[in-house]
Amino acid sequence: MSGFRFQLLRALAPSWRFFDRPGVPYVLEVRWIGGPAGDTWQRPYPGVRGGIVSILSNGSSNLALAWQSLVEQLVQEINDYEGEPQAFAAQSVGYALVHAGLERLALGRSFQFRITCDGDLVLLSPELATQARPS
Amino acid sequence: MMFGSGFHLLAIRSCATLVALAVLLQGVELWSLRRHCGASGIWRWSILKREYGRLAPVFGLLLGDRIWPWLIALQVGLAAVLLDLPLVPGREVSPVPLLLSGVVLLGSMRFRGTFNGGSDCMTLVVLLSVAGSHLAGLSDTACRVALGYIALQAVLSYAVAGWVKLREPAWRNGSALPMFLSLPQHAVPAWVGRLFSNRSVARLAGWGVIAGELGLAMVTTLLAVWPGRHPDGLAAAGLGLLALGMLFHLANAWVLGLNRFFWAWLATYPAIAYWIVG
Repeated sequence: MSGFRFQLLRALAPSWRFFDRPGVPYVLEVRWIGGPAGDTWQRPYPGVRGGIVSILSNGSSNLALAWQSLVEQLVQEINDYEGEPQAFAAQSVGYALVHAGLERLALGRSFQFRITCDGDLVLLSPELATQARPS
Repeated sequence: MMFGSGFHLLAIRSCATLVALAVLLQGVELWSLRRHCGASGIWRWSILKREYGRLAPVFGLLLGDRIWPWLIALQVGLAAVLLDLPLVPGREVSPVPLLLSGVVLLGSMRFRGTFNGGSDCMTLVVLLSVAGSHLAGLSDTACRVALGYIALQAVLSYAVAGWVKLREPAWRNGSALPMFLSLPQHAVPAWVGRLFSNRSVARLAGWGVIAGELGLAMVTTLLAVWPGRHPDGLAAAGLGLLALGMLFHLANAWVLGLNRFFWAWLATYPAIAYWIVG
């Protein structure tokens, strides 16, 4: 078991480098196997426009932002990983969280996900069976 | 211009009220998303606990899937109590800001560090400063130190954000804004996207953002470093830049969906205003 990850406390160490350098974003896409959309890759949690009330509460939009952070954390884990590639999925917390998040949307279907950056493939999962019941 | 101790108390109390409102709204928002942190959600404890090492059983008692809704409820409740403290205070010291800081920090940890990046950080800057001032008995010195730290972090946020943009060619030539606005997680209104696809408009707006961020940082720094020896009108310019800053955060909330940033930064403004006029 690895130790406590101090990155969990990063809310105490602000950096303030907002929107400093525009770059091509990492894009998470999923395809539902056997569904009506067939082999279409689609974004699972797109940004959602809120109305005027969104100044008070904007859960859907902030969920989309949190998902993007999760994808970027997973990419960071990929870049930092030095073990056997086959063991990555079992060891990566980010991979497990993305898997869990997509499984919620799968409605019993199998699925596959990928992360791309400017068309380049960063990660391609195997086809994954849904284990959890849809909630 | 110098003010008595009532002014320190009013300023720190205003920060406390605004950050309580921010945390209350954040709590309501997290409540609406609580199923995403349940046992069959995205951020489920059975996965997250791997990052806590030997401390997982301890943190499991605070951050487990079943506890999570109660933690959000506690956040909302404590924020409501902090909101309810009198606006023109005496020296009543409260443990609520410290407790609320702990709850907000735990909430950030549930999302692997932050749920919403810098807004979580600024919320904690204000909360911990308010908590520190209460722990020190709301003395004049404690209030001034707390207000100084909040203002320092807020001004630093504008200075760093402005400086890194100034150094970035894409911000100077107008290509940065359209790229940020096109990021799919932001769902920017179509007409805003079209407006800033015009390079001249984007360049003007980009320089406006840089000038506003660096201008507010510089004016506030001048006023804090040379109190009473600055040119006439500089304090008014500082307050004007603060008003522009509020509009800037409001626009970001509406266009980019960054509502949490608006409330978190608004909570710092009484501290900046204190140093501008005090």
